[in-house]
Amino acid sequence: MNHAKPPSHRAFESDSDAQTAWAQSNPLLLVLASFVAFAAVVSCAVHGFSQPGYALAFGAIIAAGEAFRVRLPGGREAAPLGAATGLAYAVLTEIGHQPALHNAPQAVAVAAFGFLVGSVPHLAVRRPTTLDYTVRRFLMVALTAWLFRMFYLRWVLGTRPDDPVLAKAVSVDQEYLTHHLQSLAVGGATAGFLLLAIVSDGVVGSILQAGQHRRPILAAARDELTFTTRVGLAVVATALLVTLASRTMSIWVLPALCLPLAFTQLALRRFARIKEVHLETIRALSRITEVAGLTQPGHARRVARTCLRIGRELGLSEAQLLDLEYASLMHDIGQLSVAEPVHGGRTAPLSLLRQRELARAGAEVIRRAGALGNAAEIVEHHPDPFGAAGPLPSRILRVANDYDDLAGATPEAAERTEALRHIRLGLAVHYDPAVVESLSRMVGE
Amino acid sequence: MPFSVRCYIFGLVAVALAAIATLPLSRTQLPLLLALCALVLVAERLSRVQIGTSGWTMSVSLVVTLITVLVLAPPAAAIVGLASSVPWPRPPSWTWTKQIVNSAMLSLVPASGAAVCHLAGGHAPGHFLSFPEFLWPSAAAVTTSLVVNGLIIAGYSGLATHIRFVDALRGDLKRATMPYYSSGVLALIFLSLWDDIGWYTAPLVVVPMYIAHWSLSQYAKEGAAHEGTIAALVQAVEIKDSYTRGHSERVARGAEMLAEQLKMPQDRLVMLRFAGLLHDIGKLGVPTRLLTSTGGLTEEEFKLMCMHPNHGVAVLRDIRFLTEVYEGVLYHHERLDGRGYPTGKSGDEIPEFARIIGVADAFDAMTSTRSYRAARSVEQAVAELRRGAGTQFDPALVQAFEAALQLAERSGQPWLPTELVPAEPPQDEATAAAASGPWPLPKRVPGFSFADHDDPFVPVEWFSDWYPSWLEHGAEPGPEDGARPVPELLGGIPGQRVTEPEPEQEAGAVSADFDDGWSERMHSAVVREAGPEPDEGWAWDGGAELGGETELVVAERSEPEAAEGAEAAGAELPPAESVLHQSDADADADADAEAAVVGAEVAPDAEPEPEPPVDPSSRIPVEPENDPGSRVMVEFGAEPDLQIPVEPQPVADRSAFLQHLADLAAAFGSQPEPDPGPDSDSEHEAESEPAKAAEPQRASGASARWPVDPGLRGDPRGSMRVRAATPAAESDPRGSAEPAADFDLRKPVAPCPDMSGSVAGSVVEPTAEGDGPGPVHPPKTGDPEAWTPSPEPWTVPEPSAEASKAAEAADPAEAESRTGSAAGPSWFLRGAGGSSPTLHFFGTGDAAWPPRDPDAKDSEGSSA
Repeated sequence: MNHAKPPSHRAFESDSDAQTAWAQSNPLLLVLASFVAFAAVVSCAVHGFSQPGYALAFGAIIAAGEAFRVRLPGGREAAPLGAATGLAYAVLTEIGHQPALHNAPQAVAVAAFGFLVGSVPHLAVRRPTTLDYTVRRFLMVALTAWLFRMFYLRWVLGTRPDDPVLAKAVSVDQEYLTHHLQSLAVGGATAGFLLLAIVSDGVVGSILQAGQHRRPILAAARDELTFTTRVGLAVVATALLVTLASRTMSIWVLPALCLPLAFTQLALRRFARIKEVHLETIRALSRITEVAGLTQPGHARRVARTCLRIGRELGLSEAQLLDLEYASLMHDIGQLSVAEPVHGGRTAPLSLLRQRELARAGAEVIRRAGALGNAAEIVEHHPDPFGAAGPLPSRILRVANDYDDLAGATPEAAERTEALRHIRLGLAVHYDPAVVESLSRMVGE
Repeated sequence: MPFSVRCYIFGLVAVALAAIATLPLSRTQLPLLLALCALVLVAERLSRVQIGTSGWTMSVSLVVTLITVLVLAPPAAAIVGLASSVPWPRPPSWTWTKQIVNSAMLSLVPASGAAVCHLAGGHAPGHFLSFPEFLWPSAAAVTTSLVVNGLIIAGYSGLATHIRFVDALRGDLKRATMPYYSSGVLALIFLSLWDDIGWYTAPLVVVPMYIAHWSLSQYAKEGAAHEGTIAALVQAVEIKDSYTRGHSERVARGAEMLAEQLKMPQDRLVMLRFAGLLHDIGKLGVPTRLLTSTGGLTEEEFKLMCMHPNHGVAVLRDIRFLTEVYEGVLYHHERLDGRGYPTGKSGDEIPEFARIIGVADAFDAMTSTRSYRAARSVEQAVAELRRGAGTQFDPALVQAFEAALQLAERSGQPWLPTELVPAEPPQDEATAAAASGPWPLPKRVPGFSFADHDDPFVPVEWFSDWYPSWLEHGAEPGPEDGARPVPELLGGIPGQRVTEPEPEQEAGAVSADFDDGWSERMHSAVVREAGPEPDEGWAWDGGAELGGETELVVAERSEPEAAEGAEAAGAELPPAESVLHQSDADADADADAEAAVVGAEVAPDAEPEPEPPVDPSSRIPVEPENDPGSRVMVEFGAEPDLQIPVEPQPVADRSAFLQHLADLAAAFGSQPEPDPGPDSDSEHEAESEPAKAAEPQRASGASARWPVDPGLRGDPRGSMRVRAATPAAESDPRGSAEPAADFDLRKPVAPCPDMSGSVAGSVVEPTAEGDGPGPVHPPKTGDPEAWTPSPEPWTVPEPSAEASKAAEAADPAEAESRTGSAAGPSWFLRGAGGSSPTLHFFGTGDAAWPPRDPDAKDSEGSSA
């Protein structure tokens, strides 16, 4: 009898199953990243390493940032410190009034080192997370380093920081490089390259998302954009600051700028944690109706899972998906306040009026919670037939709920088909055809 | 405001003014000063965010203030600081006092920082190009600002609030260090970039800081949302029980006070708050009947009640971060001497959270109104806590709680007893007697109900003779394997199965609204489904909402003699006989008898065709898949358009019956009375002890004084059933509700004879068979309430929220018949007095069916 022992957490989403990080990562990206890193290291080995002290400092900060990366709810990951430092090293031109002499392969190799070392702790504890985000960050840094150092500095500006001639000129005239590099145009170009890096990262992210969850690419891109505008801007601004301030402050700029970014990362981490707690609490409390004997065990969570899948496929934004998840977890909460039980907790066979009454009671409870976004509205409108033109999340919830009411907990294939047949009979009058189409795709799998 | 606080504020303002007054106007760069003032105002306006729920805010303007510190002389820095203290817009909690303290502080902080910077050799032109020399004066300046800020705030907190100076200082430094040094670094980089490259690069520094603040503010919002969600859900749970409304919130507050007194760290305190909020959430798994009954609990019911911590944990078990909350919820009814439940842990085995919640829980229970007493004063409750210290409560915690209460009183937020206006009509002795019944409670804990389960004034000794027995087997099914405990427990208790679903409301609503046959189609799809009926699973056994039938079976099992009486009555005895043989709180058996009466007397003339009786086994725990009858009932539940009018009873019958009833009551008064239980408390004795002399007439007369519409008390089912059964019953919701409900459930509205037969007929003719599915009834046409299909179904009958509310207010009966029936409210089950229902059943008033104007009926009934 050890009640007090906290139960092991049962993972709710299938994608957080205890698979290895390797297995969950996109193989194409992984191979590409390995190849780039390998090429960079080989190139460094051939051409030699310049300014190893600076390289080591940057690499260490990248590794630290990676080690303390933040996993945000919804599976995203943020490591502004690592990304910003990597990007800063890629576009660094001058440090402590000396030209930064490293070439593109060296920048890539340092980044690879940092990201790899920073990922070791996560891999060691077999954290069920994907490497995609790390790989994406690395590729972003590699792309920027290549574009900036190979293309811009060497071919457009004609300056080769690793050119001994240039080094000699700088040693003669302290301000040589300043005059040459620290112009508004170069600063602007640097900012442009950094922004380009972030944008390309966003594009890669959208493509990955779209492939993984069968989402429309535009919806995925929109999500990436909302996410990137915040964290991505902080990353770009910090990288730019490091590049600019390192002229005066030399390598000290790194610890100095780490402080605000670490602060950001800390804040993000706390945010992510409380968000996760919140979602978990709602998931758990969605069991209230089950414990009260009002709904079937697991109903709310099954409906939530179905809703999320359909919602992703139909291109709901991430905020909408979260609202939909809240709503689907709590859509039966109205049965608590309506003092008369619904037989079997199944609302599908009830009359529309009764369903609406329950939904309204539930929406009232959710609304009182205050901060659950549009969940209340989704719940309130979910009994509306398709013709009533409720919002899309409500229509999804209606289909998912009715399907689960019909099919039950662990439906056999025949039961699933039967349930789907019943749903299809209400097509276009009661149910949104697009949603039903998505559901039947899901059921068919 | 105390004198010391006034002095403190006055001193602060004086120093700040002195600092500003020394501004050397001739040597000040006015454009720079003005630019920084403007910048700080803008930053303040754009980026002030709330951090956490403590009312502590932060803004990017800190970066600007620190820039000021690094470049301006102390008086000028003070002016910029003063500008940053302008609130724009004013927060809701704004007061002049706060504003003055803030302004003085925000001027002094940069002034002191700038002074130190100046002394340490900063403030030289071109200074920021020489790295790392400028680092040290800057660090000194930022540190000084941080410390001065902390000192001023801590001084104010120490004087004006109950927080100790050292604690306040530590807390402030802890929160402010990271933002101050981050902002200081950014200020340095800002100045360095400005001097080195140009002004246009400098504003970049604000971006990372802004993002950090944004994340922090999101965190704060999310935290508030989290707590709001939990609170709202807990409220939703508390809807069921009017006496404990707000209880969780208050327990959370009490636990928080206690934790503050114990100097618990902030994160644990937050967790404790959640534990307090959630500690009774398992009450949901307990049948509503238990929650609302004041007539006492049987041993089985008591066991069920004792399971509520386990139910709570079953809800919370998947929340990873709430380990301690989990313990707090599970063990909050453990006692220090090991006689608590659910596991009987003792002493230090009980986790700290559980002990804390136990104290707060008991305290709130004592200081709030209960059905059987008014709220106690804080002093009385503390005395009781002290009395229980060492046996029930942790003495150290009790002591700390007293201190916390005193502290709360000193800080102007004393704990006030929660006076509740009871949800039921006021009682005088007669009604109370009728409510608790003139019958002793042989097997019950007198007066002990779920509402008092926290209350130490209800001593556990009362049921201590049950205690070991149930502790042995009842404690075994724990929540180790998730959802299992409930079925095991409930399965182990005979009669707790729900035998019959309650279909009639759902079906009743069908005809009244949108219906193009879709819901029926869905319905049949569900019912035809091969899987087991939900009734079978454990989840349904909780039966929080399941009314009469659950109770019916319990009654039959736990008190066979009562059921016997009921059946006998159904067969031949006059109804009052059976009524009077029962114990008061056995509303079910009572109702059973009533049903039997209905079956015996009304059925013949009200329903032309004889009722096909049903095997009585269908009433005892039935495996629903073996019982097609129950499914049929789901499908063809009562439809309003098929209601059959109840014939009003002849008056002669009624007076004869009254006479008979009175005789029987007199006879009963002389009967030997079963053991009421070892009752030590005279107060409870008075409460639980039946008023033996209470005659049925008297009781009903007294209760008839409250023609309160039960529908207005937010319990749809009660009112609906009362009305639906007998209009005359409305004059006495307390007494008549239950039996009338059962009457309603059984007889008149069923369109399908099977349904009435399956319930009432089983009592009358237990030997007959015929529980097969009845004939399918097509929807009635011609009924005014029936809906006719429309080409645009979704546009049809949805009344607006206002309209439906208005309709409910105007005509609860109709509203209720739409919303359907509901679980019993407190009065509904408490009012199990056996006599009055019968009176109402045979009462005056024409039993027009269905009742259309409840108010008229009310007045009619009470006048009669």
